[in-house]
Amino acid sequence: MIEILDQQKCIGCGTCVEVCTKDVLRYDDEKSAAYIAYFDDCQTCYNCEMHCPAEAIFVHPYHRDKVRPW
Amino acid sequence: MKKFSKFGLSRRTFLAGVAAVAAVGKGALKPASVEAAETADSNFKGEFVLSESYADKALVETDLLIVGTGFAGLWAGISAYDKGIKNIVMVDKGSIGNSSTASLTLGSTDILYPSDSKEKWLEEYVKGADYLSRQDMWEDLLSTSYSRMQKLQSWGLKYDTVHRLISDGNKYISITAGAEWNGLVLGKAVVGVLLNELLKRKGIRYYSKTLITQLLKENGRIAGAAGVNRVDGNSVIFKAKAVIIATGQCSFSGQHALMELQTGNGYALAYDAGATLNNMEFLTFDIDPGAYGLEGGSLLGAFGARVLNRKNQDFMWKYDPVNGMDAHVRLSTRSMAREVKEGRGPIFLDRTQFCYSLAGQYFWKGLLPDGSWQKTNEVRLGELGHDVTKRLDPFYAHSFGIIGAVKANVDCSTEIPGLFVAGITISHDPGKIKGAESARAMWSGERSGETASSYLANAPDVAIDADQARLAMEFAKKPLDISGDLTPSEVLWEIQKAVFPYDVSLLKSEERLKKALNRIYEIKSDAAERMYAKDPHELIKYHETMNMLLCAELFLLASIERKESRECHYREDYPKINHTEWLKWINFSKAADGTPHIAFERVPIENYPLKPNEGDL
Repeated sequence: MIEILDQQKCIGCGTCVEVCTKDVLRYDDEKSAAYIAYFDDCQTCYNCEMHCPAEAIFVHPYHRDKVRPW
Repeated sequence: MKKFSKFGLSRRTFLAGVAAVAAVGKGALKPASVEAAETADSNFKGEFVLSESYADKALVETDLLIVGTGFAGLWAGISAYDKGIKNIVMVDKGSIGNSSTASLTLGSTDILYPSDSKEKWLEEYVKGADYLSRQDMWEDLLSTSYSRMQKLQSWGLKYDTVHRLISDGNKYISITAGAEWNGLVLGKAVVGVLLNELLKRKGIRYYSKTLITQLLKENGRIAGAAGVNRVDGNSVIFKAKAVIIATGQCSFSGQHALMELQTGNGYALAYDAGATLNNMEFLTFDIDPGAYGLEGGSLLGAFGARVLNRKNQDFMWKYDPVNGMDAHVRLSTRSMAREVKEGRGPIFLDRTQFCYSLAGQYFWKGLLPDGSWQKTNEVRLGELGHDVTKRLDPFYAHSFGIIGAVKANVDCSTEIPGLFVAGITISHDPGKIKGAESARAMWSGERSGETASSYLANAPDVAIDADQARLAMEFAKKPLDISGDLTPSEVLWEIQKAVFPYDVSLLKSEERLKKALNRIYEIKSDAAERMYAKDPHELIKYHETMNMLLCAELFLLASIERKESRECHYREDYPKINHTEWLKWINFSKAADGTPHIAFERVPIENYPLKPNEGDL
């Protein structure tokens, strides 16, 4: 799941907000930077990190807890 | 930390500067003025397409509305445009193209090359689905398969045909892997090339972050759809003479990696509008570690990985002496469940030999190049000290999706004039063979676009009256006004707890299915009274959760009805396949009182080239 979105490094382009598959990221107009708005919904797809031009995002490969079949 | 280099590093937006769609005034619906989309960038590098925005209660008019922008939706757009439909709107609940589940996968697909035998392939598909296939659709798909490969190639996509794999116990069907386009790889390459082609076709409008909540009809025909934006909560009416739904399947926002977008929205949209759903009992499973994602896990067996039980036994050879872990995934998932049931769980994945083998190296280099989701994930795990080559990870059978869907004709039209379905949203075949789903998506995408364009050539104009529009927009936003105490995530967790246990979904019995169904009814009743949405983001999850409740109900009802075992539907109380009584589909339609009406439809096997053996009937 997304672990870091460094607002100091963020250049405010909004790309991650647009490419997020689950609407986890939102744009803060006052800070002109993206932020993690709905952490629990991240599905670890790496779209945000792969598209970030400023290397401001780090996604951890571990998922949140899920209902298991056993 | 190694940086990804396969994606453009500058922000590139396309269709920028498009005017917002104006709001509709009180009561009366007036067409809003929409400026023509700017010229699309012909050098699309796979970044993203900027959405148009709209004010609350906006009206957008179009000829063709395409819902979903994966392989099927994108292909439908290209195909309809090339057949003369220029006024097209594409909508996605996430990001156009980028959030399609297909874009996150290996993107590999089944392509029938001229040197392949169509008859042999058909036989393997149909036998693989235990004869519940729509053989007429397979015929159309296979006959046109290579022409789509030629189109993809002419658009610049490279499929590495060296990486043709034969798996799932088949002898003939092969999967073509290793897609590459413009620095993008695998599923992203396929989506990239399709999106690039679409953007060359001027005037198509794109709306992202918008969930379609209802289809609208006039005199029994499709007249459009209502939707809502998950960021600002604005509602919108799309007036459209035709709609293509290509929104994937229902995995119950699954446990398997990258399947969380699969919430059955297209099934619910079509069902509520009066279409028929079938094959809903076929919930497919795939294998992954769960703590982290693994895309393409069912391929690992072919490259030397093993699954072990608690006693360290490489048990798959017991269930499939020929293929071991390379068995069909329906058998490996069921076998894992059996091991657990008989007290030998939990199950572990062992890649300690795989990763050092030549086959394993081939797997990484050939199938999972740099820039792919899976490679990225594994490299990252290693960097964080989780070395998959040196440890055993708990391993699960995880829900992938109900492969049943909307009943359609071979040309992808449905019973509702103006409604077409594509991708996994079309009911075609309950079998799960690697590469078949993406082949189906591309075939039905192309075919639905063509059929919709023929329909539009003669379709009468449609109107949406103000009351209908108002009610639909109220329906879309109503959960924001509910003062409840259950979040959509809490309700979803309960749905998953009812459906996902292995002894409900993998090893079924009437008693356990009925218990699970009763639990779903309780959850449904609780959700109706207590589920709420605190903001537009939660609003979309609210609608998705309601759609998954419907899918859970139909999955369990169908599973109870089918008193035999077939494909991934395995009943412990009816463990054998029964062609005499059950060579039929279970159809659901919405009755006048809102409950599911069940009907049975015999497979017209006498009209199909392949039939079960005489002795089986």
